Amino acid sequence: MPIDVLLQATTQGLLMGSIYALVALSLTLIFAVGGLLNFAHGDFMVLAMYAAFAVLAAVGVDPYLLAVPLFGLFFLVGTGLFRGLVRPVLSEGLLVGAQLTLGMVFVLQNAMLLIFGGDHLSVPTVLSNRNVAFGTVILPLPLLVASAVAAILSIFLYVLLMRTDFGRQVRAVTQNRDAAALMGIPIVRVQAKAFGLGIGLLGLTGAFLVAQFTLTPSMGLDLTLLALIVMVFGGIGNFLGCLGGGLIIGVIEGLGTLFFGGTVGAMAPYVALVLVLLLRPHGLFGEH
Amino acid sequence: MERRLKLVLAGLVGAALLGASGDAASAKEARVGVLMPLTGRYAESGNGVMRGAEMIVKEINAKGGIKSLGGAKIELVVADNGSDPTKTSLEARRLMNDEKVAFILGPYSTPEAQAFMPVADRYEVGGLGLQTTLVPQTPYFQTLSIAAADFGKGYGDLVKWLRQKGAKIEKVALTYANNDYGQVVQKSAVESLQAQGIKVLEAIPVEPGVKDMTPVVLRVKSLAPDAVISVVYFQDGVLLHRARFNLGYDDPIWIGGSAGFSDEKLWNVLTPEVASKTLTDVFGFAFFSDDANLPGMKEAVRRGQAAYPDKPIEQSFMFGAQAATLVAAALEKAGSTDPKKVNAAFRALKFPAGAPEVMLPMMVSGISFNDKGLVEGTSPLFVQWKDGKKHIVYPEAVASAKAIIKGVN
Repeated sequence: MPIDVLLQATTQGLLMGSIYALVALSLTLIFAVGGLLNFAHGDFMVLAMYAAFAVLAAVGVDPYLLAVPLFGLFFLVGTGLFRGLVRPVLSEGLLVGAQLTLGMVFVLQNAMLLIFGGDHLSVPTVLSNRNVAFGTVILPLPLLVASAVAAILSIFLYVLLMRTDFGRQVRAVTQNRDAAALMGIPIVRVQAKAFGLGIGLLGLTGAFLVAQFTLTPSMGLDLTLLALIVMVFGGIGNFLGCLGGGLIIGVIEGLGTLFFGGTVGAMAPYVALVLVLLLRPHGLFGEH
Repeated sequence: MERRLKLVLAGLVGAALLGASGDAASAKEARVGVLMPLTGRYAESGNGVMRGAEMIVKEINAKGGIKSLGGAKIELVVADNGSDPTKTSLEARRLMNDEKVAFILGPYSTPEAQAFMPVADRYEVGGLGLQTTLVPQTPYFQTLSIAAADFGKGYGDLVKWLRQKGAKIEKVALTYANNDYGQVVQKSAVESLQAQGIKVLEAIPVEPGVKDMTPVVLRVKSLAPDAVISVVYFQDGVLLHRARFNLGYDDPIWIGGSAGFSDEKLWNVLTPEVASKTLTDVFGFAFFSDDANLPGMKEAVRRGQAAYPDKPIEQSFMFGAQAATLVAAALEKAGSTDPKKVNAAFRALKFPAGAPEVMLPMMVSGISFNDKGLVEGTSPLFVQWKDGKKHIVYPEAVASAKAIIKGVN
């Protein structure tokens, strides 16, 4: 195998892996805070992508410029959803909560189908089709930007959760709700903020990833599955582990395809996941 | 007494008419199922098919419906299978069992057809596959597509022609969607190439639904082939061309199909910048191109453009229009909405080459179905793109442009 091809495949694997990590970060956040597995995770991200498309089509604003407004909008939607829907249901148990998010999948997919139709859409950004070359290695700029955002967000979330008062409150609520309440922590407000942050991040990441995908209303569940694998692989609740897990999966997939063809490449991350679960049930970077 | 006898006779006649449900005299409408992927992976194509079918049905209904059924209007009962074989099976059962349709237009793809056929066989309701490239395994299923094995031969024939034109093709690599369709096409293409003495470097399987084709293109690059044949669906094709663009890898003659190389929407979805670099000298396997000299097609395209001025009139649309035209003809021929009779009438349809009912250029010999449910005498087309428009370059008999062949012209 020529070395330039090998280098390119490894780099591409790392870039795709960072995208996988970016998709998984907010799923990790929401799961870490409330134990809720958000099956509508990917669909919220797709909704953000469609929102970026709609704004681009209507007023010509580049999706990258919409990242922050979409974060704000989705944060509000997330906190509202938590207070109005998730919290009342969560009191009945996590399984009911998971069912609720499954219901959201169908609502969101069908709403997008009604509004945008089922045709594939590509959403160009200012960086679409732009590459930079380092020697023989070519880096697509949209992937490079998404990787940078993934790294920054992983560190930001790690610091937020481990080094701030809000993070301590979140961890306290996660570990023992009753004790946290006795310490004066406003449980519902903390959970709503954390859930809103998780959904808000989907708004932000949707804007950064929109150029990478060909949009269809039903692609969300695929993204949720991908996020779930990365989250479990890296270690549930560990944001840096999530980044590491995504990168490893991307490289395994890329090199598996390069050396053994597409079928082995597609299978390799799942084999790796099974191995990790057997040897380190809490994930590669997870803690007991 | 006489009045009572008349009443009894009238009652008997009425009962006979009611009992003969599905017969001509009582038919108010002919319910035809449409089982298409309106969401999911094949939604792009499914929605195109839907538009073509709806246009034809509206036209037929406006002209007085199915004459042999007393002017019965065709009612399309639409079901979305979400591009999913399992849902295809469930929706097929619902259409046949609950909705009591006379025939089903669909499903769209080969995996969907595999799920559909056992249901059609059980309920004895006919179906018409669109891009279903398998050989039907039941008398209740037929397809408009060329069989997968003939796809492979079509690729081999094109390579043979390119070599005759002076192209240096000694080593070929293949990439193929790793499902039944892709495997059969790959196998028959390899056989055809090897029969010409061409070295097949490798056939690389690709899982449909892959998120990045860069590693696949890199593997092809490491093999350094003279030509590549890629059997891809629309979305995989988009990823393939983007990867080729990003890597700047344009050395071999690239041949591929079908939707991932020749779908009308491909140019815009890729964006003109990527498409102009990646599509202009590739050969796309196609069933349709609107530059073909076929009266039925030209007329249908004209009507399509009038009916849907803001939508492209492309391959999927024409398949929908062709399928609906044939289903309506089968209903007319059957004079019944009994699914068995409609299916038998469908299998017996015959239209000569150039008839207004023939809308797909690949049906060069007209339309008639063989005993396996395949259209007889079909020939694949290969197109090349220029400035967002497709042009048929092979076979030369129906070509509208001269092929651009790397290393030759």
